[in-house]
Amino acid sequence: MTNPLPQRVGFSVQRLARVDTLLQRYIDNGQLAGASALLYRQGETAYCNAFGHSELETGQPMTEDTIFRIYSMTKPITAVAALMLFEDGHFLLDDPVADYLPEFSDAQVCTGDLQNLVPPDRPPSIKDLFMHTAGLSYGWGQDSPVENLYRQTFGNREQLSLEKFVHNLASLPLLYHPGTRWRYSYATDVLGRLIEVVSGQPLDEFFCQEVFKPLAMNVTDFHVHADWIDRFSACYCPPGGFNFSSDDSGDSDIDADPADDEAQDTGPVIELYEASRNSRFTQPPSFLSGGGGLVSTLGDYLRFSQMLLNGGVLDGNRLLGPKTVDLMRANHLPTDLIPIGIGDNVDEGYGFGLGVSVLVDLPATSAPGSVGNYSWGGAASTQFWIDPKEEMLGIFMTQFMPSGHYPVARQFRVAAYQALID
Amino acid sequence: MTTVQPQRAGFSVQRLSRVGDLLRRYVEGGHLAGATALIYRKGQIAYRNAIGRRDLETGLPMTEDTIFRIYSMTKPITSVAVLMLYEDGHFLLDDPVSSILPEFADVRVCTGDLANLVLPDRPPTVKDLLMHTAGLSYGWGDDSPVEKLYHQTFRDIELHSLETFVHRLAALPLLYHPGTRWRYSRATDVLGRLVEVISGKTLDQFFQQEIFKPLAMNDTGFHVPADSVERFAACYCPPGGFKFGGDLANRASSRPSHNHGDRKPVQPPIELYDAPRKSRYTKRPAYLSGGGGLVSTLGDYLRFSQMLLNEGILDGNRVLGRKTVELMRANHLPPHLVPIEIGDGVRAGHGFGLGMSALVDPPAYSQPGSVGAYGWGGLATTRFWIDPVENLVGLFMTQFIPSDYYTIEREFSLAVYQALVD
Repeated sequence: MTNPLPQRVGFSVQRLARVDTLLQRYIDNGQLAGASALLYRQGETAYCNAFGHSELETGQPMTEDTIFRIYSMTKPITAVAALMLFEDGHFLLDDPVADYLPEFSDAQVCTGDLQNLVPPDRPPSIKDLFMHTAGLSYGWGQDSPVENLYRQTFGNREQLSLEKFVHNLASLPLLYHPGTRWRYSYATDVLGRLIEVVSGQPLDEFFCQEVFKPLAMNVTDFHVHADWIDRFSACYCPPGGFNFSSDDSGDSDIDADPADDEAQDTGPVIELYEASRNSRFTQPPSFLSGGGGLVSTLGDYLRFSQMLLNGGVLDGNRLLGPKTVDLMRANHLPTDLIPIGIGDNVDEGYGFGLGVSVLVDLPATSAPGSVGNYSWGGAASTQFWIDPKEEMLGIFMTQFMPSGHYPVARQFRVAAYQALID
Repeated sequence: MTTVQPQRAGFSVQRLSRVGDLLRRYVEGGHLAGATALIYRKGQIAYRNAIGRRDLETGLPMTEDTIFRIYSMTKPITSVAVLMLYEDGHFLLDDPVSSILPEFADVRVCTGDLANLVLPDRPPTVKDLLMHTAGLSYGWGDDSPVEKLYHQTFRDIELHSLETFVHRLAALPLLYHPGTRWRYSRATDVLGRLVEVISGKTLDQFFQQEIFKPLAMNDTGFHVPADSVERFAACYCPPGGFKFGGDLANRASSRPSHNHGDRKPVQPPIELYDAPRKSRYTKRPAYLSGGGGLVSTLGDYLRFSQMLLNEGILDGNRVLGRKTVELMRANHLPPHLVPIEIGDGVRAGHGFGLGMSALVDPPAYSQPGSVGAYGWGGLATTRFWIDPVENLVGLFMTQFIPSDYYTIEREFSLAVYQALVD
């Protein structure tokens, strides 16, 4: 990465220092072990910095080339890969999933009672998979008996092959009629399987040949290679761990916000969730999760994001046509399904495109930004967003689960936009 | 037609090869006898291709000057003719049809029961005819007793004059109060009669003198002249014939496989519907159908489309004023009548202008494209669209009935847009 030149791309150097202040505060208060952040605008890296440690136990510093579990930030990559096959004419977005994955032919909907399943009003389509409107879920909720089935069925998810996982998933009832709700789900894992079936390649191979190689994302994969291990970060969580159900998530959890003058008198505020050395990410997994399986770096994800910001091309390597990127980043959700929400955490002002959230109502977000911003984050509090209007993108990386525990990603966005002065 | 210059028109040559791949899949798989396609952008022909055969029985190849039954692609031409007379001050769009065609003075609406017809809330207007909101139909449905009357009345439609036809049509009840629904219909045939009455010429004379001659559309007319029959394509259909409003859910399975290994020549899944030499199109018809009567070529329809893309003018010959073309291509349907649908076939994301559909919501259409793109298709799977945002015309022609049997029109549009890289 080149030397940041914030002035040349419309940022105030002085105001950008607030990003440093923000992130340093999280480190100093012991609420994050380390963090790194990047802002890119109009062809220049405007800001890039790393704070604290990638692993407290070994004293390894956080650097610009630290490797992170990006979890759900895998999803936009899977979406791009699937759209590449769409462009090549393998399927149309409205095609039923079952045309390519016949295990979904007999999908039934649970409208409240597992004893009385009904056929779906229309079959789930490939677009439903991109949009999380297919009727699938993650098994984090309590509002449907199917959630329990998810928990029972996928306790050993990591040991399954992607093929087996999708077969198991297809045998569970849908939670709602396709297209009638938005619910965050394993749909992107199904999309990963669709890529395998349509391309005839395992997902890791397809990603490597068609996405990572052309974009020179050399440190992105489903596992940490042996010679990368020194750069791999540990992952942390709140003392006593966490669960994915609603209460502990949400940017609204302002109690966890480290106020400038807050005293540190309550002992350790984080604990180790997964060390770098004995992580399952050090081995190639059997389950190639297009929904959350990748590790990556700030620099690699920058290259992926640049490709999208450029309308599908980077350094002469075209992955998607600009009109397809336009379609991907358009809001596709009908008004009655906006805003999206995960558990009790509502993403005010956001609709959804093909694999990314889309900002449709700026005032509703209660933060500066632009209508048309598209973005997503990962369970370990990583986040990226792309702002086509300001020709800008931001990436925030740390390793702390769950993602809603601190409002740091949102604070980073505020700090970024307040520094924009042209 | 001039030399193909894809790069200068903003297309990737490599990505454009997907158009050829698509056409080859359909022809080599035996799904279509032959096909032609053309893309025009920024004053350049960016792509043109003709593959397969125009007549399997004689073995004649598909060529760029092959003559096609364009069926409903006649409608935009009729609509342009009507708007020329409108510009000349003969009527206003909100004038009742009956002020020009008095046979419509006593129309009644059937709201369910043929024995209890009611007066229309307002009389059908000229604009209703351009919009398919007049209360007319085609007689393909079974949701109104009037549909059956259409069936009975128009069984021998080809034998009668346009004047007789319109008189018979005006004697049937309307299916709904004008302006309250969108229903594809014989309204454009009524417009053809309106052109005759106002201009004092037969419809073929008016077309010839006012449109085909100025635009040098030399191979377009209501029949194929004897010295052109050699170039006239045969028309095909699925084995065992076809019916309208078929089951859309089976479409993907009637699409040729993308898998290269599966592309063995199979027993052609098509049968002959209309041979060129014995076709009724070899003689001037009694019934001059402004809704579907014309034959044309790729090159002729390109010239018509160029005129529209140029906002009403081609090679110094002005057909319509710029503001009239803007009005024509605007969506005129109120939100509650969008999207349009024909039978069970919903055209998601599309409203309707004066004689053509208008794309209002590309995400709803699940395809890359531009808001404001307008166009129409014909029963034998021909289609054109004009994209004023991208300065682009797309044209696809084959001869296979019905048009909703395959998804090739959508696949072609996708292949065009994904290749656009500027």
